[in-house]
Amino acid sequence: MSARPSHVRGRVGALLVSLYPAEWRARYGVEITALIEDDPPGARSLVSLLAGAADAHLRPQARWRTSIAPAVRARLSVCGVFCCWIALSLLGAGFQQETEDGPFSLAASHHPLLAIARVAILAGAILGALSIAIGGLPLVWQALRGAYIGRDLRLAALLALPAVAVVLFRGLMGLLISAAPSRDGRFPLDFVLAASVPWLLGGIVCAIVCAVAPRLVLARVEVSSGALRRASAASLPLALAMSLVTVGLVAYALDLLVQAHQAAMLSSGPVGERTGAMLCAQALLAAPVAALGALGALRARRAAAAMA
Amino acid sequence: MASKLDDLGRWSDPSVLVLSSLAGGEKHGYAMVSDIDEMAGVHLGPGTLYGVLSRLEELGMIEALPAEGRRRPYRITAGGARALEAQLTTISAVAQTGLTRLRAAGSHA
Repeated sequence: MSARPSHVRGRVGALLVSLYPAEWRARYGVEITALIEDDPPGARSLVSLLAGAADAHLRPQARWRTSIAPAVRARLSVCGVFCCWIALSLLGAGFQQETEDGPFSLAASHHPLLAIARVAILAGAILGALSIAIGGLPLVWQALRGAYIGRDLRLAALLALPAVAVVLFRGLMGLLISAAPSRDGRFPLDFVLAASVPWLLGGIVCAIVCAVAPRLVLARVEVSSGALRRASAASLPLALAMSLVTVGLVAYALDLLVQAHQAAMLSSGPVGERTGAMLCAQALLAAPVAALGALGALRARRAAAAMA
Repeated sequence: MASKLDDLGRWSDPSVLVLSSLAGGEKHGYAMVSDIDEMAGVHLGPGTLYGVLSRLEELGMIEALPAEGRRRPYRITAGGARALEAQLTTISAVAQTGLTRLRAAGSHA
């Protein structure tokens, strides 16, 4: 029998080790990777790695938790929460794009749950934006100062990358909409399918750039402990905002799916089961992102408390 | 009577296996997995093994020795040996009582 499957399982196992907290990996990462190489994991061992990673995040042990300085832990956790917010913002933009047409407002006026869900998403977006302003902007300011004082062009480029990525993504969306064969709210299915590929790829690239660039910036620039503590404090309302947006998305998607037939009769617009199903898919993606964000916020708070 | 190892909840059983393995001498991860497989017919997954090792280390029942390349051996401490002995004594008493009762029930049947 070929050794290839065990080699692949070993690679998957090593990949799963990267799901453990950074502090855990700093203490046990080399050993467990050596064990995976010696004893390539089967399906049950891969599940054991996944469960172990979840357990390490939920119940960190004091001994390995202190293997990384609290400031570094706070920095990594804050980055993680911000990344989750960026991913959720893109899902929120998708929701906005999906439901901005008049028929959805009409459907919401007939179904209070749709209206309440929309308000929850909006409230979450506002709370999130405020939290980012309070916690994130001081970090951006310090990074900008660092780039200016140190004449660090690479840092300046990294700072500009997310904005460039978002502008390019918006441009791509505009291009797709302008190329659409119909503008009465109903696009042909083959166009929707063809357009969804570049839209999805563009969204994924934009999300990766928006998530990775701040992390690289924070790794490159010295930030004050005060700014880091403020960012850690802001991560809790940010996690609350993500929960609000997710609950709103789930409620809106489910209600639209249940009420689709009735809502579609209200207008000739795009309110229908297909939209409900697409929104359900967005809500399904949003739930784990919000859960990860909440976990990151708790870890950031713990790290900030340890910094004091 | 609940021992210190019972406080580990679902990690209690694999902890007994790991401590029993280390009672035979210091071992690194792969050596422990192989020994436990041979001793009890249980294949500990890497996530379970390192979940147990981190907890036992936290409780001071085992200690990590200097790494040998990428492998780090572990050794049972005096506290770990006491906790293991207490746990195995309880298990042994339960096993003895259960077997005695089974035999008695068998002779009545």
